[in-house]
Amino acid sequence: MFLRIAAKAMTHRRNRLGVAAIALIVGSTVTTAMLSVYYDAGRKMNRELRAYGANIMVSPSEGTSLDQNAMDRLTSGSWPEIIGTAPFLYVVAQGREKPHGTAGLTSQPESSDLRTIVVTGTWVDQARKLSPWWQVRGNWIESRDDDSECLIGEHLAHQLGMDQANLLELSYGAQESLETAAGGTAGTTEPKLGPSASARRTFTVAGILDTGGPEDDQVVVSLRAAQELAGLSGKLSAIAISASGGQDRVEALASHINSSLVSARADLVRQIAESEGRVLGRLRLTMLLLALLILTAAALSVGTTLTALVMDRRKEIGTMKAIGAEGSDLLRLFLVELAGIGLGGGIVGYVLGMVLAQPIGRSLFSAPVSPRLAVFLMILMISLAVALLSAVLPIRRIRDVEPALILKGD
Amino acid sequence: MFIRIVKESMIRKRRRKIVAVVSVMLGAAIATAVLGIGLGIGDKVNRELRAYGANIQVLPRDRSIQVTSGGVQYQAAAAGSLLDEQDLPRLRTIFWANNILAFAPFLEVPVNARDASRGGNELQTNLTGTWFEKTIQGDTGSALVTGVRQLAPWWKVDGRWPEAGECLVGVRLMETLKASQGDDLSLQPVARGGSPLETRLRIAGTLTTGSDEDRGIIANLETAQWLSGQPGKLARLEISALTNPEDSLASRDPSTLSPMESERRSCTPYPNAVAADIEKVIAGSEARPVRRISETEGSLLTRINLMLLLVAVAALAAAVLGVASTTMTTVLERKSEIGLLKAIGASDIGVTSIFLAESIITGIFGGILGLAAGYGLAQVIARTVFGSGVPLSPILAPIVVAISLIVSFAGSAIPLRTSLRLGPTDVLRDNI
Repeated sequence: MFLRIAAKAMTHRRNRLGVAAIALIVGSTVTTAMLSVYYDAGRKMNRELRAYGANIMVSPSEGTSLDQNAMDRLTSGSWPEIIGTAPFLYVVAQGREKPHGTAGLTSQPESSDLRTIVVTGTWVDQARKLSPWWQVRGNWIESRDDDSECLIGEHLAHQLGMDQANLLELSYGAQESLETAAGGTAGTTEPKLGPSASARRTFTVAGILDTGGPEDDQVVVSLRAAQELAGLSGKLSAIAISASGGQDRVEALASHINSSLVSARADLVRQIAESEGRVLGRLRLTMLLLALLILTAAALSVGTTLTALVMDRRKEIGTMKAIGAEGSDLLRLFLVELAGIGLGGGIVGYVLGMVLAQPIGRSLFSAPVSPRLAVFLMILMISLAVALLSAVLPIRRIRDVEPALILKGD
Repeated sequence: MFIRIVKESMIRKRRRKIVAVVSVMLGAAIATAVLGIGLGIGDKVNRELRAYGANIQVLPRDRSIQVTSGGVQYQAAAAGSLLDEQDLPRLRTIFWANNILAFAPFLEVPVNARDASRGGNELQTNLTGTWFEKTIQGDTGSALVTGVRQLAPWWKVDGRWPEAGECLVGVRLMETLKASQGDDLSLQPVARGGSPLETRLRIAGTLTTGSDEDRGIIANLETAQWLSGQPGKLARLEISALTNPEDSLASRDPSTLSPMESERRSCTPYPNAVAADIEKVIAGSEARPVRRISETEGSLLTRINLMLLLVAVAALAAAVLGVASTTMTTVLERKSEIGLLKAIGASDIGVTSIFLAESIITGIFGGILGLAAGYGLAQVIARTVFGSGVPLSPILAPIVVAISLIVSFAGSAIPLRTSLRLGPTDVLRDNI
């Protein structure tokens, strides 16, 4: 009986209910879209910020060297926060342009003067992922096993007067005893090559690298080529890591890496890690406050509409009271009805809101917004609460309704 | 007569009118606040992103190849290819001077360092001279406080920032030297056959940055200039400037632009435009955007602005909905009044004009009150998040008042039409 009255009330007063239902649906749609984008913004904007580059650098601790198998540990998947890693080996070598056609000759007339150059060995495919701002005029080194090509920094190319497809000859250890940069600071125990053990390699310039950073003065080759050039097979100068998460999580990850890698230390790149936390924190706070405002606006509109809806039915209340309904029966009836509207509106609003959130998410972080149980439950709770609360205001009026007065005509 | 009816209705039914005005006000306030913040904090977000440090780097045009890796310089920069320190105040005179938030000069010298207080081993490292904090007077009398403390807010100093005769030592060098704060460092520039120059600096603090600075010494620019024998010179200038992301306008050929577009382009601080402006005042320099920072920042800023715009639109939708539903219910509630007016001979136009006049009054009042409240709300939010108020564009005022007027008007017009369709008898007999 009770349920039947409630069901009838909902189906029969369709147009009056329409306004309230539409208000509720639009309100929960907007709120769902906002909340979903807000939650995803935390995670996916983070991914956008990762374009600033590595936020953890692993380097050998004093007096030791970094082994390449540390890379395997990092990429083994035991740390899901790690988005990307790239190994680096810095070698200070002598370089000069080698004219074409003489590639086969080993003894070169010392005509073009030798320059001291920093040679960076890396997995170019990974370095490129980690540093999306790198630009190359010409071709990239496509494979990390390509030992014959190099990228030459924009400023260095200008200084050497070299361009794409030229040949660059690099020699290591031939001149005055140059130490490798592998240890970072001076005083490392890197195996130094004597002047006699000079290594020489020729590279084809695949492209000119423009980064606006120190790489503009360097030559980039494959990691293996740099290791062979310097006779440091299996050694690294540094590993750059790009890790997701807030500053706390990145900091925790750095100390975790620190404790699990021997003879290496992981440092937080404070320029990136700290700024990132700051920017992201501010953004999320803004989003949250704005979402709350929107929620308030939506709740107010739904609340006033539903309150008016209840007030409007004084006549019906009068009739029911006249045929013997108690105030509490009526209240229960209204609450069930409003709960039905609240739940229905919330569910429909959630579905529409998720549809609305997709294009927003795609334009913001080029990824769809993922549905979340938390958001769904929150929307249900909020719309239910708003619907039920809107009955609280007119409760006293419902109790005070005098059936005789109402039925007579106000 | 008409005016009297409206006036009486406003005064007699005060509570109902207050509810209507308050609802319009709330809607307008929320719309103002969100629109104001969404459109106004772009500049603040831009400033926040400046926490990432310098986005423009100035180097000598004919500089030699830098042989630096892992914080150690392998060859001193050749003399002659350096910038002049005396040019730096001229940065305050350029067209985009107000966009320059901070800058700092740098000069690196390879040195042999030894802890003189403890007599440890001698180590080769890099001494970087810079400005920690310096006040530059502009032409207009406005002073700019600049230096690495402003340029690189992420530098963490354990101890205190150095004064004259003091220096910062990177955390990893500190470990290698086995030195501690308050020790004196003896420094000698690296030169073939030893250098006659020697200076002593007291360690004021330990510097942690997570990059190359951790392995070096940071001191005053004068110290580095003296040690390297290059007074008044610097090797590198880093600048943090507010810039706009490069958009389609920036990449187009200037000759194809209309006069208005080309004016807009010349008035937009694109990174390249600011860099070119800087290049003009620093003799023999080459200024370039640090692409790692400026490009990432650009794409981030575009996205954030888009997000804020979407939020503003969503807020507007919610506010419009709130105001419309409230006005609709207030008109629906007054159906019997409409019937009564019609029964005593009012025409449809007469009834409509009474109701719409009332809705215009509520719309304007609510809109203006809401504008004021929303302005305050926006300031509160901006202060909470960014620690400073947000400038609200004056164009917001007519927009918000017009929107509340239109919404309140349309919100009463729709239910009015359905109410008028009913005959007076329907309305009076059966309180539908």
